[in-house]
Amino acid sequence: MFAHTPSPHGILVVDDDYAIRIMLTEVLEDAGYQVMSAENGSQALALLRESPTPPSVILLDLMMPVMNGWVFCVEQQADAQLAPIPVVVLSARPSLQHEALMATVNEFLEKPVDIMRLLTVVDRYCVKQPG
Amino acid sequence: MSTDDQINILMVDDQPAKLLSYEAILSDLGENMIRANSGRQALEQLLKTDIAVILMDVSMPEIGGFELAEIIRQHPRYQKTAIIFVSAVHLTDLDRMKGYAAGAVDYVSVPVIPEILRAKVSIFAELYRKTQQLERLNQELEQRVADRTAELHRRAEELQALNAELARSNQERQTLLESERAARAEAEAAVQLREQFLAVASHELKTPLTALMGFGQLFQLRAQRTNSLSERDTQSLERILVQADRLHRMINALLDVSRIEQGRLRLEREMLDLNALVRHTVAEMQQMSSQQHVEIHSPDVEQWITGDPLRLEQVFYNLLGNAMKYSPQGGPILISITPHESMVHVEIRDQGMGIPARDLPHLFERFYRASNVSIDNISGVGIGLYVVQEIVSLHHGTVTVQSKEGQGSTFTITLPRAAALPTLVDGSAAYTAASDHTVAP
Repeated sequence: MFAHTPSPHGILVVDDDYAIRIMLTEVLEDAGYQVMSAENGSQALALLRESPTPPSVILLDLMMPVMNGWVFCVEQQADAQLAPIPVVVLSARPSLQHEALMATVNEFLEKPVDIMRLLTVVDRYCVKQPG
Repeated sequence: MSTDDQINILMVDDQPAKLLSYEAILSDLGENMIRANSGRQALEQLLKTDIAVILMDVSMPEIGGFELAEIIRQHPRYQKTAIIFVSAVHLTDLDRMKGYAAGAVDYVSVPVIPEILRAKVSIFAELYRKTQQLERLNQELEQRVADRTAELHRRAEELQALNAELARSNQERQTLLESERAARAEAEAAVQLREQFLAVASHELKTPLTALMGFGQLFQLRAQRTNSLSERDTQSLERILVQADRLHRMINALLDVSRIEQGRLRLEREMLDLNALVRHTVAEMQQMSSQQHVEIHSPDVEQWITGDPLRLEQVFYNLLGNAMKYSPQGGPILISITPHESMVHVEIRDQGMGIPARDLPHLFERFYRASNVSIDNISGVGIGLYVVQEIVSLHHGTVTVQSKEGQGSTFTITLPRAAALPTLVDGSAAYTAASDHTVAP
C-alpha cells in the first residue's frame, strides 16, 4: 500500500503488553509503516530523543508501569522537540475523564481496537506530511 | 367478760373494811380489783401490774394520798393514769394535782355514795379502754406506715433495678447499633471492592482480548491478500472473530454494570433516526447469527429521536439477541416501530419460550434470570436487561415486558421523539435516511 513511498512513515507504539506490541507492530508493518516500540513512557521518551527523525504518530497505552501514559504526555509537551508529534491513545477504559485530562491527545481508540479503524486513523496522520 | 378484757383497778386504803366496801360497790363493773393497805403495797402493785384506775384514800398514816400520787406520776407508765381520791373536800390540793399532771384526777367525798363512785370508776375505766384502743390503732397505723414505707423502699429498689436494666439494654442497643454500623461500612467496602474488581477484571480481560482480536483480524487480512485459506478455514476464522466479539460484548456489559453502580454511565446525545438504527442493528445481527426470520414494520418516514447511537444499538442488540436466544425452535421475530404523539414505541415480539409470571417483576434486576431458563442450555449472566433498562431510562424512556410462559414475549421500548425535525443532519449522525437497508420492510 505504501510500498512506493521512498521513506516510510515511522510510528511509535507504546504499550506494556508484549502481545499487543507485537500485534500492532505486525499490523502496521504489513501496512508499510516503519515501527518502533517501547514498554513504557520513559522508554518511549528515550527512544524519541535518540531517534534522528520523529515518528508521524505515537500510539499510546495509558496504564503502564514505570511511567504511565498521562505522565508521558506531560513530559512530551514539556519538550519542544517532541510536543508537535500527534498522539493517539489506545486504552481499554476510554472515558470523558481521560479526555478532559489529556487535552493534548489527538484521538482516543478503545481496546480491543478494530484493525481497519486503527489503520484509517494512522493513515490520516501520515498522508498529511510529504513522504 | 373474759379476764383478758378486764382492767386492773387498784384500791389503796389503810383500813381493810373500806377496801372491802369499795370492792363490793365496784364488783358490778366486772373489773379486776386489786387491794393495797399501804402506799408501799400500792407501789409494789403498780410495778407488778398494769393499773388502769387508782382509787386512793387521801389520809393514810405512812404516806398521804397526794404525796403518793406525786410519786406515782413520776413513773412514765403512770403519768396519765386516772387517780380518784377518796376524801373530804380539799380543793386547793386537788387543783394543785390537776395543774401538775396531764393525767386524769378526780375525787369522791366521804361518805362515799356507791353510785357516784361506780360511775366515776366506770368512766375512767372506759377512758382507759378507749386510750388503749387508740394506742393499738396508732400502733397499727404506725405498722402500716412502716409497711408502706418498706413497700416504697422495695419499689424504689425495683425501679432502680429496672433503671439499671434499662441502662444495660440501652448499652446493648448502642453496641448493636455500632456493630450494625460497622457491618454496613464493611458491606459498603465490599461493594466498593467488587466494583473495583469488576473494573480491573474487565480491563485485565480486555488486554489479551485486544491481542487476540488484533491477530485474528491480521490473519484474516493476510489471508485475503494472499488468498491462501480454504473456504472452511475462512469460515472457521470468521467464527473465531465472531466469538471474540461476543466475549468483548460480555466484558463491556460487565463494565457497564460497574459504571451503572457508580452512576458513571453517560450518554453522548445526537439526533438520530430510530428506524435506521433498528434496521442497521437487525442487519448486523443477522449477518453473524443463524438465519432466524425477522420481520420489521415501520412507518415510511424517519423517526427522529435524541440519543446515544452506540448505546441504543446495544439496547436493540440485547433485546433482539434475547428474542433469538429464547426461541430455540427458531420462530419468527416481529419488530414494529410506531410513533404515538410525543413518543415512539419499538415492540420486539417473539414466539419463544416466554417468561413465567413470577419472574416478570424481577426481570430487570441485576443478575436475575428467569426460572424456566436452564443454565445448562442457554448461556447468560442476567445483566442484559438490567443494562437495557438503565440505558433506556437515561434516554427518558421506558422498557416494559408482556409474556406468558410457553407463548413468547413482547418487549416494548418507549422513547421520546425529538422536539423538532432537524433541518440539517450533520455527517456524524450515522442513521440518516440514506443508511442502507439490508432487511426489506
